Amino acid sequence: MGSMTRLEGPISGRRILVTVFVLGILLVSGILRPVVSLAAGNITISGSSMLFPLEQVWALAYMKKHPGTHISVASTGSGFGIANAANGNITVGASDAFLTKEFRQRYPNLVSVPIAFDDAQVIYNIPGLDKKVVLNFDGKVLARIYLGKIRYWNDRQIRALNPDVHLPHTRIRVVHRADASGTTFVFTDYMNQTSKEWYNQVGRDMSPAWPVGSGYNGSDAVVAAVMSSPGSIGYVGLGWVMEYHLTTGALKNLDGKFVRGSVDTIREAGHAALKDPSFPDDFNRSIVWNIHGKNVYPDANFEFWMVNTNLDAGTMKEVRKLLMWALTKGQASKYTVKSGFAPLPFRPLKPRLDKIINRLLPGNGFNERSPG
Amino acid sequence: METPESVRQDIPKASEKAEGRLEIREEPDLAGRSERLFGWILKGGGLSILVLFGVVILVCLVAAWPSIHRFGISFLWSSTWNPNRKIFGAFPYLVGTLWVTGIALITSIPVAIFSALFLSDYAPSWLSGIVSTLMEMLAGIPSIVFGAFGITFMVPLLRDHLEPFLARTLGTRWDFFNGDPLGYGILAAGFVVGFMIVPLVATVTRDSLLMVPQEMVEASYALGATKAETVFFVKLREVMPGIVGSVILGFGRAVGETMAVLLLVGNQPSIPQTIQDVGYTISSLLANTFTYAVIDPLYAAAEVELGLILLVITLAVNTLGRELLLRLMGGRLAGSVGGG
Repeated sequence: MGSMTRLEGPISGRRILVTVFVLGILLVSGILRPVVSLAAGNITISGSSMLFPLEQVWALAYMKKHPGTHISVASTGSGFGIANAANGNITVGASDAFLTKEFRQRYPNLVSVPIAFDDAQVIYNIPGLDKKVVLNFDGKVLARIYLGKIRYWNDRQIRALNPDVHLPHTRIRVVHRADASGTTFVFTDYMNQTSKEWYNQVGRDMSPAWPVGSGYNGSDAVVAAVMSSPGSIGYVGLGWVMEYHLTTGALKNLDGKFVRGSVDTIREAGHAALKDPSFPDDFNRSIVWNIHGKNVYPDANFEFWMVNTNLDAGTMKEVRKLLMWALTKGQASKYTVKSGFAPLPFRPLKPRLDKIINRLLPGNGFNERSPG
Repeated sequence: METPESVRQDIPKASEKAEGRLEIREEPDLAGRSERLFGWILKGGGLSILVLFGVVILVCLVAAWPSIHRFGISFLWSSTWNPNRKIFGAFPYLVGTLWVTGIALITSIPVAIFSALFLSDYAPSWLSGIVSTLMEMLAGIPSIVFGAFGITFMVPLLRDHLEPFLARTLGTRWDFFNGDPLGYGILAAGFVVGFMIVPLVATVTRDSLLMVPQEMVEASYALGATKAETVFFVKLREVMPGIVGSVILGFGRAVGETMAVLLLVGNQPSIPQTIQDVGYTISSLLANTFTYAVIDPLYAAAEVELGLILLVITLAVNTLGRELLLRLMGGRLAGSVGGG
């Protein structure tokens, strides 16, 4: 001990200097790191927890083909994705919801790019009911259930939609998401457009003020809660329905048909919307309910990547390249359907996508043959 | 290990042998300098806690200001929480937090005290050793594990057995016990948080019990008291300050517990009408929605204000507990237990 003190003593001043220097370098490199990672060739994608699995397989496949590009993906929630894409913390913000008017005003620099189809589906667990029985719902009944006004499964309003089903006198247990969720946005959107009561009392939101029920963090927890509590009703996206082979309810669409959510019926909804000339070029409108077609599932949605127009040109070129891949090769069902999404049709989308890319990189369209 | 004094004496001796005059003059100076440097480092460490606390409070206050300004004190008893309409009220979350904490404390304190008494006075030493070690391990289990345990074990148990049982028995007389047996809810969250604070309270109580002077116990026996009487009326009374202190610690843990509660409480901002009902706590609301709330300044402010309220509750309970401790102990051992 004694000798060490003697050794350290005379050079302690120099040692402090060296320490300060090393610490300084560490600090500066730590501060510079986010700047470095936002440089061209590095793309950070963060947001929607629903898109996360798809983004992961995309990132792996894309990086294999383009070794110069590094993509990091994080699941942080759609709200976080939108806010952080807007303030430049991340390159791409993933969101299950389009930019509503309020968001467009708050974040004028954000451009929403559709990248896949998804939906919200009703799941239920009714004791004594055969697992294969599909129940019909319309927006009014669904809203009254979620408002706590219909309290038993054999309520005459539910029976009126399901005349052939024998429903038990079991209490309905309402299950919803507790975290802010894009699935919730799509689900409440359906009730919002079809029920005055819901519109007046709750509205459409990623995290609305639920009047009744119990909330769970994440779709997996919703599935677990519905499966384990007899009498419960909940909602999840297509991916969860496919993964757990859940029985889902059929929802009434604009043409009065009861349709169940599936890869085909949500594609139908998207196609019908794209054919509609009044559908906006920036995609910032819901494709819930207001779409005609016999096989249209009325609670489908586009999944979005939010890109900030203020990204530097180098990064923007990388983003464009990634977008182009994701919207063409990335739509193969080994990526999309396998992760629980329906693929986008490239051809009907192209004219609108061209305008979007042009907004991000002026002078550039969405043509695969002339990149850059 | 040498004591610092012997080190300091060693240094001049060694340098005398080297017979450098300059070094002799420098040594005490050097010692003084390192001493001062050490002092400064310690002072920095101590002050940094003050600074950190100040910064946290300040940042929270600034972030919460829009909500404090907008809703004022009525934030505390308004029960509307509607981000869509920009109306925020803390009441359901406050009530939920207090329910879960209350159930946790009520269920855990008796168990903890009994187990502490068993360990200190009744258990054979080999068993006491095993149980004590297990208890300390229990205290180190991450809360998410407790949450998973709650979902896989407590929820089905409550849903299928305990809650229907309560409804059948107590529920026939009091509506408070006659709710919908969902399994999830304030009861499940309270029980599991209770499990989490049992080791905390039990360990501190056991340690206090072991420190009761043997003379006191012998005096009790000499007066003709039985073992049970001695343990209950003499030892337990003697360690009351320790128990109060550990309960305060437990309260602090329960009131802020997030992950386990979030998985079990049902996350619905309603005022529980029955013991089977779901609720929502402040910490689980923040964990569920804060990343989304940041997109709206007022929404974020309301959530930060909830966090501040949690901080104030914890501080208030700690301070009250400290006062209570001081009174109980009559000034003995002041400050050594109630630090929380």
